[in-house]
Amino acid sequence: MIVADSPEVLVISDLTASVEGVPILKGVNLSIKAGEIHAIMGPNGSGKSTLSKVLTGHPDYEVTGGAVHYLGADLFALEPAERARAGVFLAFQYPIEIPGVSNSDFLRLSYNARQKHRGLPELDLLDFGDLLQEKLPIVEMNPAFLSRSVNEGFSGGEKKRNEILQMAILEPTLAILDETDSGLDIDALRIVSQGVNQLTTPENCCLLITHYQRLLQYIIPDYIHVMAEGKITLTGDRTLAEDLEARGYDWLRETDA
Amino acid sequence: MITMASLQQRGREQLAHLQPPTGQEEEWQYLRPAQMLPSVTTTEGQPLAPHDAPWQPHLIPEAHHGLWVNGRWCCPSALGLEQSGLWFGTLGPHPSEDPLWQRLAGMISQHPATQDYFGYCNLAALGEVAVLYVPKNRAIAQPIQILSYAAAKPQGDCLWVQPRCLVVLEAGSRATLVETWLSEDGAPLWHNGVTEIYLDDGAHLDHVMVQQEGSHTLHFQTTALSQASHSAYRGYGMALGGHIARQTIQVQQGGPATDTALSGLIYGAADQHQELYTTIDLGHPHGTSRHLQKVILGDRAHGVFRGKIQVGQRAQETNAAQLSRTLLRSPKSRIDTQPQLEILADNVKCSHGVTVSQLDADELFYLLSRGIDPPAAARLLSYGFAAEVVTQIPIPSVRSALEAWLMQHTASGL
Repeated sequence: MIVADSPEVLVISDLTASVEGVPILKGVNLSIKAGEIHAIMGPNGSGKSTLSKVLTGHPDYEVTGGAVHYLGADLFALEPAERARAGVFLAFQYPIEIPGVSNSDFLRLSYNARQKHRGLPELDLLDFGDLLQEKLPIVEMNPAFLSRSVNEGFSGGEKKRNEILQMAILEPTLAILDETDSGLDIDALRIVSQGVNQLTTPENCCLLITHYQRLLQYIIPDYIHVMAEGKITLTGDRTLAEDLEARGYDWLRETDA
Repeated sequence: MITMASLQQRGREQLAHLQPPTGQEEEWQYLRPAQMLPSVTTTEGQPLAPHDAPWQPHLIPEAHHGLWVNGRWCCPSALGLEQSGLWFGTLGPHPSEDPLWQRLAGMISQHPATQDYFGYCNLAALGEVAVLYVPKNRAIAQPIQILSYAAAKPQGDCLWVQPRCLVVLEAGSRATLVETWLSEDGAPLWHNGVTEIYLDDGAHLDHVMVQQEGSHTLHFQTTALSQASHSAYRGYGMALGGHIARQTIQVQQGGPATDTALSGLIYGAADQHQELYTTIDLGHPHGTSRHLQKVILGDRAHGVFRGKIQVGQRAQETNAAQLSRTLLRSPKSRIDTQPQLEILADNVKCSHGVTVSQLDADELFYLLSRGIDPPAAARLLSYGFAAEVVTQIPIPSVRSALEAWLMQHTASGL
């Protein structure tokens, strides 16, 4: 939702970045205020996912210019784990499997890292169990998945639900959802979207990265940006998604010309 | 009549013809005992104050215990198990003409794996032999724990301890054995242990080995196993401590349809050197073996794993599988790992695999992106790597103690 006079959470200015020496982001500008949901759409290879990795500090991506301010401070001054504890969250396009580490241990460790950072008490096994029971219905998740290894043997839909469960537990200020709709059937898409919708508040904000308009029928964005060749080339409201769906990304190149 | 003295005598006679390996031998290329073994040793360890029992935290609550302290058997309470033919105690300096005593004494040093320089060193120094004897068709529900604890005198000569165990499971019997090897840090110590295990037809042994020697200990351990037909052995080897440590596990399948399973973890940090040499000899039809070996090395630690599988000509329709996986956590850690298959039969399945990897960058980033600091993330991934073998250990208290140990130790060594 667009809230008058709400503070800026994320301000990206002229951001450039490269992978293995190849420039991918070529001057991205974007500002997101608390309460807002933004969607970035664009063809494959336009740099959408790169933006999410750069914001969360993946070591393979090198920032070559520009600046990003998160809650008024330099985001790049923070290590990846510090960014997460400060409230930046990435729901992965391909969530990673970690054999031998139970999902509940992983969740509790993440949660306690965030609590410690906020100066709040860490939870022991029992209290954290109670918290999980409270959060599981948000993504309609079977408690059996808590005792299994992180994402190991999970279906595509189960992995994405597990990502949103982490979001529910970590309560990020900025949630970046990278192609969260990919590989989901219609039921899983509904569950995941409802989960995200329950978690949005006037205090936090959300950046959806998606190739298709489908997700945006379930999570209604306030702004839609189109990314092409490492830049945001067009910004509009939710009706832009329908235009894109109807006319394809090629239409943009034609209008450019 | 066989006596401890006659066995000692045999050890001394054999030693007269043997020299410690020089490093020229294929199986000793990473260690050179001839140059490395202490020239001056003592058998006198640091005396303990009355009621002092530093091994106490390592005793398994649900087990019967037998104890070696500084190389001497000192656990009369173990004798309480002598009932209905079951025997957990020792063969000692007072020989007996009892047929079982003589039969068991006659099995000592019969396994070929014990007939080398180190095996005969142990035999030549024989004082007592810890014995676990389970008669036909008996199953002991409680685990049996044999714990060796040693502490050398500070500034003293190298303490040499040579515990020896004999495990005999008669046909159809079943037992769980835990061997724990402990020593204090700081003063030089040489452990040269031998455990001989004989499983008769259809016997089943679960065998957990936990090596947590001190930082100045040279640890050599030979585990020699002979299995009769339809017997099953489950070995769980946790090699965590010592300065230089080497375990040799040699399994002879002596009859058809014999099953051998090994799973183990080698954990090395600082400048530890850890070796594991295993040989599984499948000599009969329908034998099976599985071995999963995990190795985690950090700092400047060096690991060596050589897993030999021999499938003899008569061993038709056997199935042997071996997988070793190593996680190198630091740039200066190093592993030498080698499967070695010798297959003479034609209708067999035999598989082997080796992986060597570092901490996975994507897995690390996933944990970082959830606010977990790099050292804690590395610890969690190392723990996860070891979990597959640790969770197989059939005794809950041993399993949770190892999990706690791993949680504590995997935080460093990067």
